[in-house]
Amino acid sequence: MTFVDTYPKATRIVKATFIVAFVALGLGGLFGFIQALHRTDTFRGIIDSTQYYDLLTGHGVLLALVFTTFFIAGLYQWGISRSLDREPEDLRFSWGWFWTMTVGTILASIAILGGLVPGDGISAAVLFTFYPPLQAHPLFYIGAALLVVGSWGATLDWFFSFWKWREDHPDDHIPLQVHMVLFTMLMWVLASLGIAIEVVALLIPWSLGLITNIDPLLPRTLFWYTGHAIVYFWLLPAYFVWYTILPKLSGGRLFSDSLARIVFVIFLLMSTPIGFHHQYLDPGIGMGYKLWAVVATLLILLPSLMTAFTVVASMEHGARQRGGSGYFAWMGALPWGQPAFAGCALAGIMFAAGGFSGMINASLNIDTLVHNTIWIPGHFHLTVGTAVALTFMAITFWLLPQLTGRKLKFPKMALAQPYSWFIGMVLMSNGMHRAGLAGIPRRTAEPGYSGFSFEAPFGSIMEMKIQIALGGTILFVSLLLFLIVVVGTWWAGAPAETVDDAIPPALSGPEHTPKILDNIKLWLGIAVVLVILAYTLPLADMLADGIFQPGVPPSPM
Amino acid sequence: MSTDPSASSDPAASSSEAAGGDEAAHTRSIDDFDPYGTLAVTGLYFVLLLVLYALMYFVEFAGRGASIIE
Repeated sequence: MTFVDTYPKATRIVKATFIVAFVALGLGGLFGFIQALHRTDTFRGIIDSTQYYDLLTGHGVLLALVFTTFFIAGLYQWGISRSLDREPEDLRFSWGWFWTMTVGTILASIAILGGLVPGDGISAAVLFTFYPPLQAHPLFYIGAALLVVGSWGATLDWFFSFWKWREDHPDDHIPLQVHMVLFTMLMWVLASLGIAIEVVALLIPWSLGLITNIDPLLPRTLFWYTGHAIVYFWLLPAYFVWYTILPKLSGGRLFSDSLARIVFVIFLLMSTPIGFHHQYLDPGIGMGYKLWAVVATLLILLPSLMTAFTVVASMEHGARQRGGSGYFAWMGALPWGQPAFAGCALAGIMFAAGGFSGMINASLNIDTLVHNTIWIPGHFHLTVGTAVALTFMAITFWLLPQLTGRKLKFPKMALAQPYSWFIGMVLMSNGMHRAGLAGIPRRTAEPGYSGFSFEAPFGSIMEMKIQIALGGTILFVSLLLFLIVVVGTWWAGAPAETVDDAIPPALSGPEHTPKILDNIKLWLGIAVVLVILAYTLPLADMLADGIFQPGVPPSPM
Repeated sequence: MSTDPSASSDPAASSSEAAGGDEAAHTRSIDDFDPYGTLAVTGLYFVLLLVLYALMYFVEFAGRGASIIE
């Protein structure tokens, strides 16, 4: 008996979300591969430089918004059902949020892919951030809004399950996985209010022609109100995996239940009030607000450093039990031959490197060195592109037998996948970071300028380009390996007699956890106050001269 | 199907299947576990962060002249 046998209704929802997630992953990954070849001048025979921006938008939206949101929805539905021992409360509602998200994804995809079809009048080459005055077809914004609204529905669905469970367990600690789900989603709902207001109140009426001019700064600010917290909306489900599943994969147990809960509480409090660190170089925002963002951003390093400690300690516990010893040699005793473990651990190593480049981005002065350069994509391909994406892919190898009742197909291919992703990303991200230090810009099909050549601080520009193209190619091959294993397991995996789905309890369990860490109302209240403190004055400054002033006309893309 | 670890009041209740059924998986309690390997790894990471940050600040950032666009 495993998840599919115990919770068949929840399984269908998890599978449906995973199907959409993996289709988006395949398509978005293909776009990324084409971009890597095009930008580096390795091969330009697939698209022209105008279409590059359609693909870039597709890459960002399909991977950073669609793949992540749908995978998270499936992963968290799995966590809610198994932890609370409940099927979804009302399947019509569950399928309602799934289809809202899916229809939104289809509409946004039509708008983006329409840009590749000449003369159809539909396009949305506004990139993942859709900064006005770049203007997309209304379908793009409507689709994005539906995706967000659907995710709110999922949140409500999981709260329904939690409230029902609470009726029967009034004095129990919230199960750890459920605590993580609820705190992630509360953070997401609070944070996504910015993008919802931006899209519904400003961009949809503007794209429909009801408003002519728009103030570029206000939508940017609302976007980044959501836009940094969305990073944690992606990351916290990876933490969910690292805290609650990775210790077991390591052969050990979670070091501390309390530490895990504290980390999620801090993320609820601190994720949203720091969006201004993406706007360090935006005019029209006072330096005081930016300095506050520096302090708050460096504060939010704390829960990630706490995570580093807890997760590494949990892995060490596993390694010691497997016979590991020494200060560093214990790492050799970890199960590097298991794809789920290897993927999560390699994702964690990459995240440590991404933590460093994130500190540089967060530093107001040093950020000027790398802002808007290809260093930034180098950074977030380590974080969302590896820490999150590789964790999601790796844990899929562990979840699939539970969802299908089948053994993992092509185990050697599955084992090659995380290692090839790691190698590909080391090359590509290294090339991107160093090219950024040389001043090479991001978000362009033509990074060169006539009569000017970039000078590399060390190495050569050509060598960086080769690393980016080669890394991108290896990453695409790795992605294909992943999809082959998933499709093979789903359709042709041998029936599994037993499925390894048990998770051992924490070394320091909930019996040592202060009750206050489960106080949802308290922490949500403080989070709201922090948001009000961080955003009231700057937004009032922006609105003082009118919502749409100073206004500029749209640039349809 | 196991119950959630944090909901369990018995720490050993669902640990027998950890590590694929490895019996050693639940023998080392928190009192027997001194994570000095974690201290070594995270300490090394912290030193690396400091060195790289200093390199970025003093060499890449402060070591370059001001960019003046005329």
